[in-house]
Amino acid sequence: MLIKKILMVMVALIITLPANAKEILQFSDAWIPEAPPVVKVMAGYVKIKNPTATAIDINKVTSPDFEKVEMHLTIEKDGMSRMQKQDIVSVAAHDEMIFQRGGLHLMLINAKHVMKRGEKITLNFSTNKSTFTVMAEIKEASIGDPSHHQH
Amino acid sequence: MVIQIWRKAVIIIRLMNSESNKSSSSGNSAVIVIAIGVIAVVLGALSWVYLKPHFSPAGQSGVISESSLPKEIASVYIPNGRPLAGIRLTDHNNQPFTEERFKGKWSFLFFGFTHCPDVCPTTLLVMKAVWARLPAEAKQAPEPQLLFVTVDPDRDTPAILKAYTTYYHPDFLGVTAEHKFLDILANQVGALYGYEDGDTEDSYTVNHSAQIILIDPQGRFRAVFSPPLQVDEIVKTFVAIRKYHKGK
Repeated sequence: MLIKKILMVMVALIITLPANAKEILQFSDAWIPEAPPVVKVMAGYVKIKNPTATAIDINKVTSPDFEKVEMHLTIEKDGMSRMQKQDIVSVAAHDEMIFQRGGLHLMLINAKHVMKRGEKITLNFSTNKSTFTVMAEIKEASIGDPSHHQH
Repeated sequence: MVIQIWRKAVIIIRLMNSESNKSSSSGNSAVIVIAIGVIAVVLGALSWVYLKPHFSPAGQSGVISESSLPKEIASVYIPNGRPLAGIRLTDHNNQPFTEERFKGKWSFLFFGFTHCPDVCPTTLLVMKAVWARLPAEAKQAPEPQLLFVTVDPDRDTPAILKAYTTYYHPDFLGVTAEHKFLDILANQVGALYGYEDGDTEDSYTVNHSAQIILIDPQGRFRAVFSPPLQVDEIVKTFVAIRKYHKGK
């Protein structure tokens, strides 16, 4: 009887495992513009690609180096600029989401230490099923796309 | 074109509002009535301009239509900008900043706050690039100055503002003011701002105008650069505005 139960659980695990394993997100160009040391809030930018056939919802971002991380969208309406907090950012199937200046961005709140250029910061992007760890480099703030300088 | 007219209409409304210095929450219906009036007048003026293409307003003192301005400045220039008055700000060195300090300089104003991670740093970087690309003659007297006006005076102290603005450029000047005086300035240049609650009491954010305002060396509201802010565009237009003023 017990053996039968264990077998059933194992079968259930085998059935659900492939579904879990399929959640793949590819992160690139993660960076944080260096900011004046007095600022409480920094921005984070990254490119997220979903190579799978299912949309993936990111519903939480954390960092050991910041008290709190939020996802925000800068919108401009009637000449006014405002930030809209995003509880979920959905990366559509075979598509990508780009966190970039003037649009979707990470809001990194209350740094736990002074961030220096070249430092790598850990960012954890979570969905309901998985967590993806990404390293974002603190780079000189510039208006160009910093990934172009690297190549 | 329509958007430009609308922006100017909004600016004119704010100018009218500044007369009574009322809070932004009251008098909405009055604003709408004025807005409709302004739009009607602007449309009327435009149809007059377009329906009489051979009539030249030159020689008519006091009448400056948009079409008589040099092409490169027409979309940003405010022909009848009024002198700023009642300005009581404090700069990041704790020195008073009144309208007198607009005199003899071209002043770029940007309204922002230091808890703004995306738009404000981006705008200051754009202005840093503008400063780097300005031709030498555009830096001569009356020289340009950039004011970063905080819309968050409760959190942005002069010391924080100094560290913040000078990080982007040593010549940039942070200014703050009591809310009352912040409104007096904002109303005269058509700038808007408003607070939005965050999850905690001190995590609120501030929605604010994303334009760059230009004040001329006589202290008059002179131009508005609207987003998307392009470095080369701002440089070119500013040079053209200086030239136009010299020739007047």
